[in-house]
Amino acid sequence: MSSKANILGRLKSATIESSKNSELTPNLTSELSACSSTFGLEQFQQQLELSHAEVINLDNPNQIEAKLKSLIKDNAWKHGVWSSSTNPSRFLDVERQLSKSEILRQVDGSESKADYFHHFDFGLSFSEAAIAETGTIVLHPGTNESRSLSLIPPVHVVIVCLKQLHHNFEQFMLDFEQQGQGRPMPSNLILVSGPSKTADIQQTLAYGAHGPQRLIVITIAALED
Amino acid sequence: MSQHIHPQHFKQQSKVALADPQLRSSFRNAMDYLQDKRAQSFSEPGSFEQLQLRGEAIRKRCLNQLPELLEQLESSCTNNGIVVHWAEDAQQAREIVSGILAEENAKTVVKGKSMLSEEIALNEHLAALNIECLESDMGEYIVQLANEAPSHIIMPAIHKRKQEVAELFAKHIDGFEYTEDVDSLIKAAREVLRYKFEHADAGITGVNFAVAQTGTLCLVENEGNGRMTSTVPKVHIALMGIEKVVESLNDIPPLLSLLTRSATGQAITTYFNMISSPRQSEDNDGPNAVHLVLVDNGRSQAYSDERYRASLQCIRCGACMNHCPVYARVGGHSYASVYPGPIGKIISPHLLGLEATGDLVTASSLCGACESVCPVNIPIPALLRELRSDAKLPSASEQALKGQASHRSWLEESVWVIFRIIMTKPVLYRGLSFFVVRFSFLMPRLPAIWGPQRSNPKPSTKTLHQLMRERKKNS
Repeated sequence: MSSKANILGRLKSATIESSKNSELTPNLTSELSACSSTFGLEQFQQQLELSHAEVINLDNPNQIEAKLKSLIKDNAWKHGVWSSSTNPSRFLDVERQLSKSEILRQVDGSESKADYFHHFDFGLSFSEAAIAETGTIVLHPGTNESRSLSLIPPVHVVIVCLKQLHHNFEQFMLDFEQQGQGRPMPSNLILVSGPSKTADIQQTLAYGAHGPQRLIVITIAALED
Repeated sequence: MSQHIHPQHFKQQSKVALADPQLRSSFRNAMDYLQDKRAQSFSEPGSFEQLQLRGEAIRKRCLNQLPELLEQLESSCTNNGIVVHWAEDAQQAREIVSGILAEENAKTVVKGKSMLSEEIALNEHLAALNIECLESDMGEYIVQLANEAPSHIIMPAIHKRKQEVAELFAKHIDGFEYTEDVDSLIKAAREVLRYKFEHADAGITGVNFAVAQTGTLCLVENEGNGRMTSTVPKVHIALMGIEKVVESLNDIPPLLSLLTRSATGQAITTYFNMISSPRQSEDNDGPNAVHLVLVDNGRSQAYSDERYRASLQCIRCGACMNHCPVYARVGGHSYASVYPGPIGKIISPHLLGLEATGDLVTASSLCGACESVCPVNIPIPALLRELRSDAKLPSASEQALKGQASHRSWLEESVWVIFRIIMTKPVLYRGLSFFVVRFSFLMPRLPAIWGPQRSNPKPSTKTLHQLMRERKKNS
């Protein structure tokens, strides 16, 4: 007998009164949503800032280049890298601007591990969605965006479309499943709610444990879905 | 870890811990901090109870369909390109991991935090095969440098002060300039570990939840080491206890919320990583292979006994230990089991048997603090009472726990038999109580264990029956 057969055999022979407990599953989705308070950008920003992220609000996509230039200058960054969104239509205007601009290089697959670890000062990507209740951005690395881009360089800059702001994780998950319409999950989907941190030494909070020391979230109000 | 493999010496180990004021202060401070954080995150009245009800229902529903969900998980993962392995015990799990590493010719491994890897003693196994397995969670890295085991399941180095960490780094990290500044300490470890992430051949992580319907492995963390471990090396091996499977993606949000709020009082952790397949042809990066090792190691035994199945509801938040008056005083290492504190007391007997863990199940005042904060409502005190009984008495049914009745004491049983006879025979009871009250002055000074600071108890000069008769008469 294989290990699998043995384990499943033991579990199956132990099935006890399974119907009794399944009745315990109440549908409390609505209650959970109802008990959560204010919805929107204010909460999103507040939560992110509580988690030590920096939030920059822009009115329209035309402001992005100037904002990035000033960030690069203020921080004396030399090497930035950006990748287009896995869902590009949402950020078309911004992506066009970044493509034209020569302030930072676009991911083209030729980047080595060492580039991410030693060369790039910051990585810029686009969020799949955002969650107000917890101040969370959802990343969907894939065809264009590397997983490393939001993880290895010391600073991660992420552009968020406010049309994609969900109330809470539960709502995001429901919407995501609905939009997916039975398609398999992407190979990687990541919720990020601040810069990398740890409190493992004497409960003292320190940022930049392994991943980015800074998370800069840029929201653009006028982005259309 | 060699110094932590004796849960049967719990009492001696506790005495040593209790006599260490620094250790006690480390734990007291950490427990106060974690209790406070949790309380703040559930400050809205009723918010905990409502979410707890959902969490419990989800875990119970998923456990009730455990074999079916595991088969579904395997099939979904396989469709996604994740290779699934099954391990009945620790040895099989270790061999599966070393087999994958041998196939990949992997000599250096980075590991994200995984209590299951501690449970199967993976580091020792890989070290014997000349494979370097470096812990990458900051707390785990610190305890690995100190050649110790984690003393808490969420904060492994909770027992260490920053001075001790600084001394460890000075000893083990080349070029480290002695400092007790926490930011600088983290920075020093970051440099060492980033080099290791960049050059490791394989990454090993645990799994917090796995979704059967979609074949998705979920990792909860703040540091980013889990993401590094599962992103940078060419192979990712995920170790998972068979009880961690849930049915659908919709089961995840309430469980995640309960986990992070109960563990550290965070609304959400910095990273919540959902991995559903290895790197696809169109992906820019990610591991070429992902392996999922499903480990039983005693869990099916807990599952088969209705009384103990609830222990598998655990989502490993550590809230029970943060609120346990025993854990706060004796610390994590006294238990000498991988999982310390209240949850450890109810799952260790299934992993190690009752012979080794018989003392652990008695290390509780049954105050119920653990049960009241458990996000999935595990009745820990009730399970402890059952385990105490199983440690002392043979099983009434065919199923016996490993080490059932191993702590049987004939003296104790005889005392109870005599007690039962006296209490059920009125003539005997009255006769004996007649003598006891009259000769109570002969009662000796109680032994030292009662404590010199306490006065010796004085038995009443009248029996309860006498007192009741007098009361009746007077009224």
